[in-house]
Amino acid sequence: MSLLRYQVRSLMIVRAFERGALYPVPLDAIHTVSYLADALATSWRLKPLDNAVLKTQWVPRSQPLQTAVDRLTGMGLIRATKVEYVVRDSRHALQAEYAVDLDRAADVFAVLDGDSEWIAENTAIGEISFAVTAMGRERAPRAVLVDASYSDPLLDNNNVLSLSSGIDDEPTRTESAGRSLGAIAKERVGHALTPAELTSLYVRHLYALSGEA
Amino acid sequence: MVADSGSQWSVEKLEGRFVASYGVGSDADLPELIRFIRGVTELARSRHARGEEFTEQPVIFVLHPKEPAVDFGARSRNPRVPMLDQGDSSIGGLIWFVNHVVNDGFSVAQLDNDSPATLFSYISRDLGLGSTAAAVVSKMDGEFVVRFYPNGLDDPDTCVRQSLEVSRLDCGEVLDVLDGIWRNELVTPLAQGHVSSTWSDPSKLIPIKEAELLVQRILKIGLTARYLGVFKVHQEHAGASGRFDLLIEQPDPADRSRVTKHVLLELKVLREKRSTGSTFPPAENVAAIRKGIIQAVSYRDEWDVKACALCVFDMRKEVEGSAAFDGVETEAMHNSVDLWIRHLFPDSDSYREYQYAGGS
Repeated sequence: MSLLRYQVRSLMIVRAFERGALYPVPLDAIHTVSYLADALATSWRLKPLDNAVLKTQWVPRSQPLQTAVDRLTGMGLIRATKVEYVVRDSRHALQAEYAVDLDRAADVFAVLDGDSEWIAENTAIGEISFAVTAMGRERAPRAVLVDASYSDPLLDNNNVLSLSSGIDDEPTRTESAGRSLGAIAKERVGHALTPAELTSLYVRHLYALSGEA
Repeated sequence: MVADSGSQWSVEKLEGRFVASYGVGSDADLPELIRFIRGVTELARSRHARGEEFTEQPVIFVLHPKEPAVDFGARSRNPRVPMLDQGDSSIGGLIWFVNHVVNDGFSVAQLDNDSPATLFSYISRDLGLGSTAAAVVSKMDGEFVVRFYPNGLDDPDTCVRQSLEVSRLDCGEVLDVLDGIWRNELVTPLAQGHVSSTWSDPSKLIPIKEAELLVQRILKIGLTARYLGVFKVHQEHAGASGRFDLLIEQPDPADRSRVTKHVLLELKVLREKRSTGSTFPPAENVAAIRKGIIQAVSYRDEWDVKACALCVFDMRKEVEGSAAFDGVETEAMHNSVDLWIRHLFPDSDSYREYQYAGGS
């Protein structure tokens, strides 16, 4: 997957949080939204950027996404504050908060907002970011840790987790949870859930679970 | 169900989540201002259903999720409330600063001696947010209402008021709202100016390919804006008998999975030409009307909706009016389908001529 797509996704995420108000957005929240966009890609009919992640006890960091964030910071399109390093698994991990420079990025957003190729991705990233915003600064980065797939008790840390299923594959645990919510909607209110409704319900369940964890 | 999930992902747990949160995100395709007022309305109704009392002292919501760069003075500033729209926190006695989906925000306290006038003045003058969209929830003349100021509190004349206690909606009322939307947003290419047009080339009477879909979207936005979110408008959901166009329902604020389905609207666009410019056979327009009646009845019965209407937008040259329903009126009446037709004029001249000749 080209670095450009990761850069576009990073910009979309930071701008969505600017509108949603969890802002400046913590780095883990950026990776959280990107993870959920891939885990819920089937619902949004998107092609995931990362098909798999390494399960750890932390929020999974997509290396290409991090490279994209670093590049955008270097280009001055987003700004990093509260930069520090924390030790995770005996390694130093970057922590920071990011804000978008709307003036500098205006031309980029003008292209993205006017190009039909990016509409679906932009909508999905926006709605996922708004849903995660509602979790608040403390719990938002913990959403992935309780995600149905990432928290699979049958998958130990340091194993690779597939984020989306192929056409003939078994659905992932996240996809199964989405299907269950869709079936409940059919039974209760008689119609299917839109991708944004499903995302909101799913993230609200993560919020509840993150409080129990 | 998620395999080996224990209780966290059980159907029972997910059903609980559904009951508490159904409908969140259903407005993703609406403009931010509409989402804001819809969110405020849902939150206020949810709090009301939980027993929170509202008085004439207004609860004010300002669409400004960021901290204003001012000192709040004697007013205490409360922490941000995650999942604000779940309605778990009391909202009364406060000024709220929220995002457009009203799921996150913080508040500052009102003072004991605050009047509605001092609160409006505080937001406008002290905070400098007089031109920021705002919504006010309060009791007025004994009625629980929301008032929406899209241009901010500095423009009090531009305000829409909606009762939050209303629980009935009939077809006639909805069709009256459609009249307003048609007149303001659809009747001529000029009226459609700020949105994508239903016309590809109005001078040749050529519509765009997705004219009906565009009309659907405009009606959805217009209806949601008119009712300030008290009623929810669904667009294009599939069932066994096909996809309905628009469905207006109202969730029970105490249990969002319990909905009253008030009105179903089946839309048809009559046309002179196809989007390619070739002639559209008149017989297909006649057939579309009869098909629309059958669809309206089928969807109403399948989705258990109280009432339905066939709404026709006529993009042909000649204004036929309700004569377009000749031959099907009895069938529609027998099946309790309301019929409604309005013309989409290709230019302002022909609309003026129509009005001059006595058309409404």
